[in-house]
Amino acid sequence: MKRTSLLLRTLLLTATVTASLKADILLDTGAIAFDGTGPTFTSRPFRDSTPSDWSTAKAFPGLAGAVGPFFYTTITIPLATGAPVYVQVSTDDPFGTVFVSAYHTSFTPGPGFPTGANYLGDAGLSGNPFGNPGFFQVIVPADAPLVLLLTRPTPGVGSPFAVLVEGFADSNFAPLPEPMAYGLSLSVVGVAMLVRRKRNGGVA
Amino acid sequence: MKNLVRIVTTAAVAAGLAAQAQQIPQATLDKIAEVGRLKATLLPEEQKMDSALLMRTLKAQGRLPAWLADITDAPAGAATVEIRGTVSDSLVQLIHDVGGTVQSYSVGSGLIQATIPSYEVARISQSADVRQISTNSGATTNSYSPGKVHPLIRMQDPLYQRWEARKLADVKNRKWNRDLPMLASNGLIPAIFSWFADATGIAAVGALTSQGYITHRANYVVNSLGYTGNGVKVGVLSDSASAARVAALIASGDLPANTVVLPGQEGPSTGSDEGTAMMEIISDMAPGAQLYFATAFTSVNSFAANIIALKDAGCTIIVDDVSYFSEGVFQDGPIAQAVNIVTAAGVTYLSSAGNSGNKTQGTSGTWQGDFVSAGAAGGVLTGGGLLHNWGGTVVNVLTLASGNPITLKWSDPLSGSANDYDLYILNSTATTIKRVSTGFQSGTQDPFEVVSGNGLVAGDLIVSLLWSGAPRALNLATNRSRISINTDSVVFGHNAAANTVSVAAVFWNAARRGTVPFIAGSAYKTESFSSDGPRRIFYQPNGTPITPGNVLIGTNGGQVLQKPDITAADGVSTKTPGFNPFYGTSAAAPSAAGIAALVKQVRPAYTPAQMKAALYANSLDIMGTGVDRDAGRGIAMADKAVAYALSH
Repeated sequence: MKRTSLLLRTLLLTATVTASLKADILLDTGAIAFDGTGPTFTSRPFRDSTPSDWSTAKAFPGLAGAVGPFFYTTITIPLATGAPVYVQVSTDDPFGTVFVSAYHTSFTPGPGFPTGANYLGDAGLSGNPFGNPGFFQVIVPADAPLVLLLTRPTPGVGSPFAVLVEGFADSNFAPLPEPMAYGLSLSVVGVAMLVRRKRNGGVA
Repeated sequence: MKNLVRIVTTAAVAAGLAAQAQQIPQATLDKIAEVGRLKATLLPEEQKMDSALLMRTLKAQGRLPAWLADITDAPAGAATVEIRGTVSDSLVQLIHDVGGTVQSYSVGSGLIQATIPSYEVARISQSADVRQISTNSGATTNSYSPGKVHPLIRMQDPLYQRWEARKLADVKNRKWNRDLPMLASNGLIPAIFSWFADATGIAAVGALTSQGYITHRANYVVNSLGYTGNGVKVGVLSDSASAARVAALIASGDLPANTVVLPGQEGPSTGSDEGTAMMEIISDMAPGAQLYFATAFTSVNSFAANIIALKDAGCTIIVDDVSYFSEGVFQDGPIAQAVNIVTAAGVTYLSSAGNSGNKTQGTSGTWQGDFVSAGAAGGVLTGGGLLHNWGGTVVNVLTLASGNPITLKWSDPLSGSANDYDLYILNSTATTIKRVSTGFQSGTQDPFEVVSGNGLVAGDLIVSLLWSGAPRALNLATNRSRISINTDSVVFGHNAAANTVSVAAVFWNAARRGTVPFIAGSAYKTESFSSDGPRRIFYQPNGTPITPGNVLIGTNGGQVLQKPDITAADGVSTKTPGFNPFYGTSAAAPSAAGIAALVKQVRPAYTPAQMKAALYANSLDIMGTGVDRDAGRGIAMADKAVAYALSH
């Protein structure tokens, strides 16, 4: 088991973020929480109750409207694969306000809101159905990084949640090739996009 | 009216209730007593009717007091009824003569389902061949999926209330005029998916696979041991499997090309295609198995007949996810008896345990125990009847209202109840009677009362009384509602029959470990809604008492069945719309059936008992240590079951 601590600028870590616990696990954040000091959106993706899955591409659901502020951050997971990766994202959010969306390659926000550029999918819902982690599936194109966008409104700041990301070679949960899994264990990077945008004076 | 006998009233109970004697105002008690007096005036043919048909008939005749007429449905143009008795040519002819239609019948079960003009109910019930005539109280599948849950459940379940509130907030605050042009101008909607065209050919087995394939280690059995369920026919019963959906899933590779829907048995056109979602799960677990489907949603008769039909089609594993609210609790009814027939012929039968909650996680909506009279302290019913003491109070508060029917059953034999219990629903202040079920039991009827759940709300009060006869074990089932005073023993009917493998549900990722094999211990627990056991029965299928003269729980009458038997994965991915994810014991049952199909390929000659031994062998112990009321023998695992079969 290999553990890699990540300094997430907008995430207050209450447990060490771990990567590549098993061959198929690309990211296991453990319990983390927004600390209320990061950038915000005025809106976030619309929750349409439809989780994306590996069988059908999901269109960007649009925005929920200007009811923010929504604190947000991104987590980028490079996938030097040479083949598409079947990714399954589980979010354990007992407080029910975190919303996770997946993008490929990069995430480029608009002026105060997320956009659908490079969008892959989302869970359609926040919270834990029947107390269980919610989940969704996306297929990441070959050699493209996976970018997760995490948003949470102000009332949810400080409430812990966890994100577990698994990668597979096909929709039958076949393991990723070993070299790729090994590479992933060394390359989980958090909030790269956010840091770059701050450096460039981007809109928070 | 028969005399009341053997009423249990202790000084302690009376003292405990004294402080609560005013829970039901005397004016309300007087109305309840008024119904009792009305009941004493019924004609013989009226005594055969269930409460709903009786009240409609009396309303049409102007025999109801105004307050009772107000809460009674107006007679409908036609009524779909279940007629119990002797299925004779003359009775069938009579149904036709009055303008009715026989929809199904079973001579062996003595049951006819028919549609008849409402004003002819009394004429039908006058037939000497009719023992009882009642409305169809309905059925439910045992799925629990955000896209499919009963609308009223969705509205009133706190989980859905939170989801819906957030969703509505999103809708309310969404600015379409601003957002959509922006998204379109940015080219954000369709273009980004172009690469999917290349990716679609990658999927190995169907577009989506159940996570249970991994968590139950079916992948090991399929890939490493080479058993796929090949040569095994698995029958599925649910609400529906439409031809269009079956064809689409065959095309996507999510169902095998040789999938068969029995002719005319695809189910109602208004069905949800839950049957295809179930078949998908089985196909994921045992990709070599051939799948058959027949609906369970037409009627009790049809359900029982289709169980037999699937056996006749060659299915050696059969699984369903349907519960009829009227099924016997303490004795096998027609569906459970069909299970007995096919299991005697070598079929392994599995069923969902149900989604009505459990005592361990505080979600039970069931009360089961012996009748205890509240005595005079509970309130006086002038003219007869004794209120039931639920446990220090004569009212049981509905704390969550699902909209499903609420049933009361007791430990008399089916078609042979001579003890007459009634069921009432009051508003939260007990000043208004909202529902009444006061069917007559004089020795030939079922021990069964039912009220509609429509319009009931949290805070309503449930009252039961013994109108005449002796104390019996009672079972109050709110069917996914919740009540303030509750017990275990939620699972009932064929879902809990002795010859059924009753399946509880565990979310595939309940331990937050990802898509990895289940492990024993405390990391996994059953779903909060998964119905618990055990199931006590008092009668053999033919109505013979198991312990003659002892039909009470307090004196350990009858027999206790360990139900549910095993636990399997739910919350899994399927491609059937509305079932992704697919929650509920409806999803768990086919997960277990898939394992059974793998075992059956290894040992085609296995009897149901041998199959059970394989499924139970080295199952993963969760919840209580050892066999328990929530998970039974624990989580069934494909690798362990097949390993057992290979060595036994």
